[in-house]
Amino acid sequence: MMERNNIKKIILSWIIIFGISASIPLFIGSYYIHLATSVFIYIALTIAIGILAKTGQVSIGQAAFFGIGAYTAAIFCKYFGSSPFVEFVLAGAVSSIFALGLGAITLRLKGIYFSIATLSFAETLLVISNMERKILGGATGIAVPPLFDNKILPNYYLSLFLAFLTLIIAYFVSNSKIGFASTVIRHDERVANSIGINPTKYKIVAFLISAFITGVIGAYFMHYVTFIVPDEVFGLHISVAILAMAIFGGIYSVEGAFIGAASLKILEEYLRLKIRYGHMIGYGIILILAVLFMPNGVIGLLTKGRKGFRNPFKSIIKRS
Amino acid sequence: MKFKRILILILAVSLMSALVVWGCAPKEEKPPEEGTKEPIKIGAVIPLSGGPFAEAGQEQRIGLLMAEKEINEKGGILGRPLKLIIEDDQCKSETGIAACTKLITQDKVVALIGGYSSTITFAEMNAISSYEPIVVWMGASSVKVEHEFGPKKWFFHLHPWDYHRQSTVVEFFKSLTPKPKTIALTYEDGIYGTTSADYFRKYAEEAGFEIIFDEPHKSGSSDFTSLLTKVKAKNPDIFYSVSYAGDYIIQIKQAKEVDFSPKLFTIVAPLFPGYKDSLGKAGDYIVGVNPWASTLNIEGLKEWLDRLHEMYPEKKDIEYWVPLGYTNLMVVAEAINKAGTTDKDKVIEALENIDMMTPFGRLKFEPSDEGGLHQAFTNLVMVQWQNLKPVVVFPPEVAEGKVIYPVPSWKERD
Amino acid sequence: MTNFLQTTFNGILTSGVYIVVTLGLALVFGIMRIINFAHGELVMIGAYITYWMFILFGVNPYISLILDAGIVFLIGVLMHKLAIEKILDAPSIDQVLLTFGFSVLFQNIALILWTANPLALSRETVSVKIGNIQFGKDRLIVFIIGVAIALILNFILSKTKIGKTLNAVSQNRTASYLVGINVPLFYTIAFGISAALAGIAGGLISTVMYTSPYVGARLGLRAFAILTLAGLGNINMTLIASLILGLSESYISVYVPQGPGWAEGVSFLIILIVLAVRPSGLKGMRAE
Repeated sequence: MMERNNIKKIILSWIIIFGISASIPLFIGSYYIHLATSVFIYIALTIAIGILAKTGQVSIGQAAFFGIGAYTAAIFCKYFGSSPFVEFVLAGAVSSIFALGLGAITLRLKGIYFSIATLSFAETLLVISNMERKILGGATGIAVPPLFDNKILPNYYLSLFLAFLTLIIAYFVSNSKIGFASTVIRHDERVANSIGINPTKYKIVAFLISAFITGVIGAYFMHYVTFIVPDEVFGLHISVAILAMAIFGGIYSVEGAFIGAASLKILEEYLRLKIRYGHMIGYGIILILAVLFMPNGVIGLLTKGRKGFRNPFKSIIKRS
Repeated sequence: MKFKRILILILAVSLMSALVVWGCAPKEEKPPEEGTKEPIKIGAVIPLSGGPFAEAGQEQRIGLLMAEKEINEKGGILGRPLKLIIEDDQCKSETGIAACTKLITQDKVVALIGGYSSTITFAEMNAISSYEPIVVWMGASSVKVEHEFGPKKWFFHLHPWDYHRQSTVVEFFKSLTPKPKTIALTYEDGIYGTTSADYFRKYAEEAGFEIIFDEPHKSGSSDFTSLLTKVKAKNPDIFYSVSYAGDYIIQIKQAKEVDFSPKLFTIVAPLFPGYKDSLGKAGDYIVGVNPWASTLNIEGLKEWLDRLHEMYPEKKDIEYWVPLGYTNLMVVAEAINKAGTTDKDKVIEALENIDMMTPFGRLKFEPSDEGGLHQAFTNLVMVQWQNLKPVVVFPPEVAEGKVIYPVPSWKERD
Repeated sequence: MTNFLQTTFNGILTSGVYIVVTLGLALVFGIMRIINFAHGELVMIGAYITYWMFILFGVNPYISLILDAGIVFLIGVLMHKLAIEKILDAPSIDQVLLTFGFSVLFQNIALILWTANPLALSRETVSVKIGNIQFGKDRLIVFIIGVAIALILNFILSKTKIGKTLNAVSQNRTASYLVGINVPLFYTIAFGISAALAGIAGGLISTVMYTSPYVGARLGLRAFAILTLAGLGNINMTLIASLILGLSESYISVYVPQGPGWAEGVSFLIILIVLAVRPSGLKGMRAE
């Protein structure tokens, strides 16, 4: 089908993009490399939340898996001396296991209830990790040695690689039966059932993948900052930041996640530099305007043209 | 339709390229030649938004700006204007890392100053240690930082470490007559409270005190009555709470509400802005440990306070972060002037040999107990609020009044 | 052992703060199904208004409550007309992001205007003793006002015409149009009232706590937790859920070792359990 050719073209384009990204460090300074590393972290996280969001379940507790990944990596590094690769895989695996447990309890909840459940889960983990002193370090946190001796370039390439990998996984998922099923489930579960799709099964699969990726990124983050306290990885601000990026860019597409994460992160830093004191006010205004004018995110604006733009001055209520 | 997808990807590429362009635009400058009139840049990374730490960051900023102004009025550093670049770390490690890296690699600052949170400090120092920049840091009290970065020849530290603070508290308790026997300890359950509690426990037990209550609490909570009721039942001689300003306001008020009045109510940093206004008479008799007090007999302090009030008339009471911020910038300027150059090794040498008076006290870098090579301030004082005025009551060498112990009960006060 | 009665009473008074904060959200989220992540910030604004009225003009904080209600009502109406109204039909995550944007906006405006320092009213703390129980007068007042407002609100919603109309509008918008109800107006008023309630909560918070740019965030989160426990749409249940939360935090603080550290976590665990077992909350009716 035409789809196949386009997929190849799309993948090729992404390879080019990442190829360019890989050569960027040759031209720019360390500060920008750090910034780019942060961007890649959030790109991966945003793509991950999107995989689950496609089924209609929006998680505002991604920090839970982020933190689980970070702590798993820290524990295996500190107490078992594992190699980073092993840590990353374990971080993803442990996150998935937790997701399985949480999903079994909560995936049948609809809409905002599911979101609140994920939020509560993250907050519960926050308290537990804050109180557990012997293994997790409690409030005093946990520290691990940096990767690659803190050399910035290898760190950059690793985060780039992880983001790239996440992108490929996401594309495969969205073009597979999982992706198709997710979209159907999101629109109407009864229809899904009637064409032989088991909503619970696919929701759990999506949740597992999403948690796995988030966990791996959490593990990377652990080594990037080398010292974490519970609030840094389980905090609500992380879950909300990821959500904001996803919605800003367009929550149902991979490209949307990419653009959302990249643009919001860069925007935030730009504001921080230009407006020394009070830049977050600008950030708040941008979020408000984004939701008002772009119902499908930046991606919607680009792909759907006029339909992607909402004129907020025509009240929806009056129309119905 | 499919064209649109390619369009997106082109946009994505452009976004990445924009990042590159933005990166390339200001070419990295070479550090200015000697003898030019190019400004000398110093970078400060402090919390200005994103969480309650911003409270201290805003105070630090005032001190920094005042110092910058005074330095430039006197002709700058080495005859060149001083440019202070303040970066907000937003209370996030990743932002702190990016900000420090930017200051060092893009702005090419001569020294990096500032700091508040130990966690963020740890992440930042790890990220930039390969550059071996000159760091004169006023934040971080956690010994983790001392262990890891204290031994580095480029790391200079102003703020007393957690153990300095706690040992002062214990020494003070030892000095009370009649000597107290039992202590009830509570601490905010973050890293600051928990680490402080660790040290306090150690020193208190060594000194022979019995800690009969030892529990954390949540900072930002609206209610401490249960905690206070629990402590009241134990009837301790001393109640020691390690927490933040907002929590203290509630704890002290609610202590009155549940009629809990130990022989002494001790806190940390009792001179936060608004203490008197928020608590009024209920705030009397509370004792707190602080690295500084505005009434201390420090050379030049009165004149400094006058100048501060002239510059910032709206700031009625100040926390110690203001003079510390001021001192932070001043000591770097002084060292560069003494060295006669911005050469890194010479400035480090100048810092190591520095011995100057600051509004914070006499500043000299010495090794500290747990591995730090360059520690400036180690002495703290105990301040007791008496009749709505803060009075330094310990140590005896600098005390301006006697501690009131045991304090009168709530009924006796009314 | 610590006086059980005292601990119980402490818990009840703690729930007073939760009640006043949650009521506004119960109206806007529980009934109107609008997610407002900026609810805590509206509370914060109310707290600041009371604070400045007291400091600058010496206005009694209880009188300021009227001002709090009025000003925050207007802010709520503005928020609604400018933004929230436009996305009422959008997926709920859009509301999450929009109101989150507002919360960031309000928090940071407060941060710039009034700094991060916690500010408290310099009023005298009055302690009252009844039998063996000791407590603060102000906290009791907050609790009483909270319960009073809850009961009034419940009455309005279930017994008066306005209340029933509000229920109708939230349940079936199209039908409401068809019977001639001015739907947009009702939504606006409902949101405004919810904001006014937040303002009142803020004013009360000012008397027993302090105000700072971040004081609303945690309380707002708590409110969502309470609503989940209570089940949406029922004011009485919200009252009970607040009490349960306040009491459990108090008991855990006192009777569990290291209790105060765990107390908050328990509220979220309760939410998780409730959602797992009985998503419609205490109310027990079918949740949508």
